[in-house]
Amino acid sequence: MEGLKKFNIWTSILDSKKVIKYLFIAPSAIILIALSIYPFLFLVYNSLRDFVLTKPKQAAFIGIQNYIAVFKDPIFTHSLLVTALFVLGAVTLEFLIGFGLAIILNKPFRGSSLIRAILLIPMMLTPVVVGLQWKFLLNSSFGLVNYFIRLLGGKGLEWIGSYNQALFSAILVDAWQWTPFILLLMAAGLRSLPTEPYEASAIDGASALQNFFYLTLPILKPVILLALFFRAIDAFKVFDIIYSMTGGGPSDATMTVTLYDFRIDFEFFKIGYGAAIAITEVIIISLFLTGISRITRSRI
Amino acid sequence: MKMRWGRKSKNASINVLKIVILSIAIFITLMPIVWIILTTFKPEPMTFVYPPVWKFKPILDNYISAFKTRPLLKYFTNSVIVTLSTTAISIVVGSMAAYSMSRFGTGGKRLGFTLLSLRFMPAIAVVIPLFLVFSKVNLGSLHLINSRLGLILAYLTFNIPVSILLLKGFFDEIPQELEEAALVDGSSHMGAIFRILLPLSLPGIVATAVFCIIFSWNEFLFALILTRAETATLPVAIMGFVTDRGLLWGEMTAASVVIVLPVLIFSIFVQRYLISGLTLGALKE
Repeated sequence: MEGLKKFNIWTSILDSKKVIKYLFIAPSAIILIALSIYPFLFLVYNSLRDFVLTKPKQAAFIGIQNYIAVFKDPIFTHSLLVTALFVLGAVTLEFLIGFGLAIILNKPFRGSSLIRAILLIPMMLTPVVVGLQWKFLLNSSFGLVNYFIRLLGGKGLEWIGSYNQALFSAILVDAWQWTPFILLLMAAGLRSLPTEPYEASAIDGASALQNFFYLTLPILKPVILLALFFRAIDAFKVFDIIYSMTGGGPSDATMTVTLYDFRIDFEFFKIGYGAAIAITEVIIISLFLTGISRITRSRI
Repeated sequence: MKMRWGRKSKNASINVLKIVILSIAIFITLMPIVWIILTTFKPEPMTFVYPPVWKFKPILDNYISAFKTRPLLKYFTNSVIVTLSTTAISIVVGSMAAYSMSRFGTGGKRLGFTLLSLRFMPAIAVVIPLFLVFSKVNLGSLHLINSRLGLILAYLTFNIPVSILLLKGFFDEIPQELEEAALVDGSSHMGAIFRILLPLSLPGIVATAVFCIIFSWNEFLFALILTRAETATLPVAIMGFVTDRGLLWGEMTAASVVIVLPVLIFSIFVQRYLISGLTLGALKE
């Protein structure tokens, strides 16, 4: 009897809306404050210190000097340019091919769902593994890619062995892995298109091309922006593929911002300086984020 | 008559073009994968022969030596434990928070945006301070650096925000009236959650778990920085095949198949859930 009463008190506490509201949010809040918010503030704090991992006791507070050094650092500027080119190249390629394939696969035919399933495989694979395998496939002397190019009568490229072709190679590999993402999104977008506008335009005698530019594109705009936005941010943060395929080289040809930051932190142990680079990266991404969300909000 | 014929041939040529494009796309997608799988069954010297060898007697040497020279099974176990634990915690904790946000509007739009920005945080900005903080934690036998527990916790920084955002979207779609009706019928709040909300949103919960599993299984940078030797996961272990003497291609490709195969098999069954995970539910299929 006593036990039952106790139980009832507990259930009635758990039945109060206010209790559930805060009790349920609490575990996530505690974990994220401890593991995300606090470490982030610690990162900001470190970015203002001359903190080197090998001599932690000497870390003096130096204000924004790390940030000034970041902007004067020619390798950082170079890595920013490399990253920008990588994002631009990879996202453009992925979007054009992915959208094109989504259009081709839009009308179902025999085997189309199997083809779609096959085309989506690359994005499930472990990125580090993808990078390593392509290092093998793009080998200039025994690689499979050059073999096929030579079969077709070409000479083959240097790929990741050459300073001028390495970034291009990395873009192609990223496109191999992530074009399926655009395909998946645009396929969903195309399937959700309303039919009425197309019926109306058929009466007006519009061509397929006119339909595409005056109906499909404007209706799909939110989906297109979403796809570009997700890919652009993830491409900006790229690390795994490049780390395993080129390690940032040859020389600094494929040194992206994240890779450079990793080097500063774990090869030179300059944690304070590395923190300033990381914060700069966060600022660039959040500027991009607010910019995009402003565009999408005003259009939807 | 003539015009109709013209249109027909135009349609036919468009279809041919489509077939050609799709064939090229399938070739580019599958050729690398097929080639890597073939390589795993080749004797080591044949790996570097030019032109490439297509016909050979398949052997298992690469798999055997990959498992013999390295504790791959241990890394495999580490990956499984870390992946499943972080996913389980994220789903439980995340669905509670999602319920609070969905039904009581906790945190409003601002909380949603905060969670979204946690998803877009560059991994390096999360893992450097975690590394420093974890290095200081030392509670007797409990370590967070070079431990599976530390990695499980670190993955929560990504998996929890994603889980909350996704699950909130799924909960939002289930009409609140259903739970209210149960409450009127004398059910408790918890009863309404367990008997009505959770069963109805099961597909959404599965989708969220799928996303956490694939992300955690494939994750590299956190694991590279927070684990070492004993506690490494498979993606970190595979970089071990890049040695001072060069890359051990044969063993490396064999190990790659070991990493990729589980997710590949798994993802065939769950492909339809992927889209909501990748876009945080902004677009649903």
